[in-house]
Amino acid sequence: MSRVAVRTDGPSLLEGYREIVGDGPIRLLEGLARRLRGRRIVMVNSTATGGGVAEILHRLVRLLLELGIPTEWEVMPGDARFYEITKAIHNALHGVPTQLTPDDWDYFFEVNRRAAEVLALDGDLVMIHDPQPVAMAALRRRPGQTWLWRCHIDLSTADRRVWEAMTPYVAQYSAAIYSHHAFVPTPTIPSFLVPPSIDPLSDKNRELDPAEQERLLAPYDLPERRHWVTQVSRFDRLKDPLGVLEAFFLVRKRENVHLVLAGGTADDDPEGAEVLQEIRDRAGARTDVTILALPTDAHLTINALQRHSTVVVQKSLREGFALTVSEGLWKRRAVVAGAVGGIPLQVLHERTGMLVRSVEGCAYQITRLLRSPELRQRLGRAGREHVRDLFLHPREAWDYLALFARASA
Amino acid sequence: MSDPRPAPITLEAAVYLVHPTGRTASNLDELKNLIEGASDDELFFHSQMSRLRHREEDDLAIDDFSGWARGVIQDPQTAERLAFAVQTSPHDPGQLRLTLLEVLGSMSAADRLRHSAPDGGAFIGLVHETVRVPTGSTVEDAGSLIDALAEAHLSAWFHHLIERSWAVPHEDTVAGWLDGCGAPRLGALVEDEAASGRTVAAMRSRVLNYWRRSRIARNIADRRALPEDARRESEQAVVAGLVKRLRHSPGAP
Repeated sequence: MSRVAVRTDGPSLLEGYREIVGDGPIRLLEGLARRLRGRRIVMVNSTATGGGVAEILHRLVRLLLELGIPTEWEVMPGDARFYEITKAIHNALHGVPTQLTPDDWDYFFEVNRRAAEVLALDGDLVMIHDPQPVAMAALRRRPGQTWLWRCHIDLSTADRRVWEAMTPYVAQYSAAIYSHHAFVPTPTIPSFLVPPSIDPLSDKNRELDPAEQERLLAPYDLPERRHWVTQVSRFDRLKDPLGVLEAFFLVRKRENVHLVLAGGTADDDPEGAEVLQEIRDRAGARTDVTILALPTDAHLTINALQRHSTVVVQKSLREGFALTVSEGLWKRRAVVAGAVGGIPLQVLHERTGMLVRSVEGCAYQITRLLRSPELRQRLGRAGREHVRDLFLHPREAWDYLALFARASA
Repeated sequence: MSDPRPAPITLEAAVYLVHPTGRTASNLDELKNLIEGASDDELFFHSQMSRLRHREEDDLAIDDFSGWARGVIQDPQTAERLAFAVQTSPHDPGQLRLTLLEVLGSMSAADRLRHSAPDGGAFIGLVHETVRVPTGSTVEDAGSLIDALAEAHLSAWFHHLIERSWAVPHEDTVAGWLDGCGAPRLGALVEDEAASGRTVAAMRSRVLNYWRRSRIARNIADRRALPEDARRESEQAVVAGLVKRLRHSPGAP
């Protein structure tokens, strides 16, 4: 089965979002949907479960259906060899040196060709997500259709040879959509920026009452009476967890505060395991630092950790978009974050949070925030409103609908 | 001959699709070059779009140039001079470009090169493409324009009062249209607000407050013309409304 049956039962998503973002943005969505009346949309990616793309497609397709736009979601079939090749392509596009043979490319395009024969790609607007099905436009595009390529990954350090092999296929689309300006390669077709967004109704971001937070955090033996400073991110050198630790040591000389570094278990990531060990070594036997290696589905725990923290840190040295920043801001937390990648779009310095460029800067801003509840409250309030307007799912949906409307005009 | 009434306005909200221009800056010297070569659209995007993106009602919006100089380059002095240049320039891209270049040109090249953006923190040239979204409202006079705007998404305010009034003659702006409708004071207010550098959210609440206040006098005058019974009923409704508001105000017992 290549078509995904999106759940449409239960409470209306549109009404759920309306309660959160207000009537104006939803009416904007409805207005765009009216412009698209009579058009059919097809979304195509390579998996129906797991990963951020599948997650957003489940929400987006349902939202489009509720808006009265006939939308289908097709998943391209593949086999083990194809997924090995696409994993290698994915890594190469992220800048990891990778060897792909001419045979690999032949097989990649052969699977695309077979998929193009079986998938129902007869919509007026076809949106292809990520590199796996990228050759579909060259194989199936017919006159009158608009095909868009939505690239969710960071191409800023892409392996040139791999990107060049894909370029003729990307050139078959009407436009490409990237999450951040730094991810846009040399454009061969019109390129648009659509920042990613968080789902305020998901387990990671929905409201949690204090009792629920307490229950979720109980297993981790965290100190109740101290301020927490928390960074939630992969154990990755570019997220600078060791820099956060150094900043914390500076803060700790004067403040009664506890550091939480929470990330994935890193079982499938040798470098992650290495970084995790370095952090553990540096923290030693300190009781004021908690390092949590959480399972990938620990969304509610992360939600509770962020809500319980006084300061949320994202001291990255290099970043894609860093949606953990929006997650913290949405929960009205005071956020201290590195001035890289998509972070300055989310953190407006001194207005919605603090941007930092050094360990000392990070320590200074954390101290400042710990000492001023009023400042935390002001930033927290402004940060939530900033995210409400710009980084929740309804905004991403209206960007897509506007792209479709532009393409249909 | 009677004065011609201006043509009705079809109110539209808007979604702004963003394109990178491919031009970047990693220090203030490169920012100067970027501004020198920027199109009018690019200058508009970086000086005005933040007014829609930012929501504070009690502060000015942070334009992209000064926001980057403050948050990423961390040069507060240059940031505040750039911010002042954007806030005080008339809505004329040529003038804005000159004023921004004056600020950056008054620094020595060494000062402009002193701080660089961290890896991944470069200023990126952007422009927008407007996708218009009909609101279903067509208005013919000042009152119905404000009533329709009060109901509309903030992007409608930005689209009509800032974007479509940018660098066009006064008579082609909404302020000019309001003059033509016999509401010159409202037109002047709208024009001032559009040039104020305030966020669109702040602009909206200031214009609506003005409009409500200005209607109080008109309502009183209208009531004077009512028969005694109707006037008493209307006054009782006002007092009842006031009592209700007092009961529900913070600190009420």
